[in-house]
Amino acid sequence: MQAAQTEPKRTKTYTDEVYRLLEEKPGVEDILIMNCSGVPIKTSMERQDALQHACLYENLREKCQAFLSKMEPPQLLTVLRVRTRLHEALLTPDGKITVLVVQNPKDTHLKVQDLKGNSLTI
Amino acid sequence: MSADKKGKPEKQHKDRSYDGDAFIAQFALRGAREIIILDADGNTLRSTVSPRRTFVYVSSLKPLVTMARNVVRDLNPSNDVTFMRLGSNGGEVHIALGTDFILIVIQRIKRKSTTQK
Repeated sequence: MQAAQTEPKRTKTYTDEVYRLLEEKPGVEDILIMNCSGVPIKTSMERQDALQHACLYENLREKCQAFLSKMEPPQLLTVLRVRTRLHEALLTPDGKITVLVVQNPKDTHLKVQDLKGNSLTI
Repeated sequence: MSADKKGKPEKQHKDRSYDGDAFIAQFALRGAREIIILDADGNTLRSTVSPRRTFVYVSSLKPLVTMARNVVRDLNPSNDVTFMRLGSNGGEVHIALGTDFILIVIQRIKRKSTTQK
């Protein structure tokens, strides 16, 4: 039986395709694709920045995964999104690779709350 | 029962004391039953889950928040985290970091066969 859902083939062509598709999306600043041990294999950033990003976010991702495994029922992390003031970083574990994207988010919801007159912040 | 955002003024039981709160009910529309509000230091202000469980959640999520903050500051010292979202198959955890508070919302995706809290 094929466990196609859990471990599909992540070949070089696949990562190139992923990279290309991500590049075309609007608002994307940086893309970083890491292999299963967290080493960057394809990136649009400088070498130094890429290593730093990869290292720090892998750390964070492990902690998040640990938290989710403690909950009931234990779950796998599918996406980790960290929104900061200047940009948003999305980390997606995906089979044998991990995709990290830094993008420019557009906070449309902030406008909505003003219109409604609610004082619900964030 | 509109006016007050935070529901009943006196809190005898922390659990289930927010059932009439419209604010909480709005979250519950999307399957988010567990909401925890902390101040900037991590002391629990309000929570819709039992104190024991709140403690368990906060004790693992607070270091996570601190860590995320450190990560972001390391990469760019002028940057700071405003929001974090941990997504998984069964649900999501949203953490909002304001200047004076931290808001945690835990959301479950209901499946037809099992009903989860």
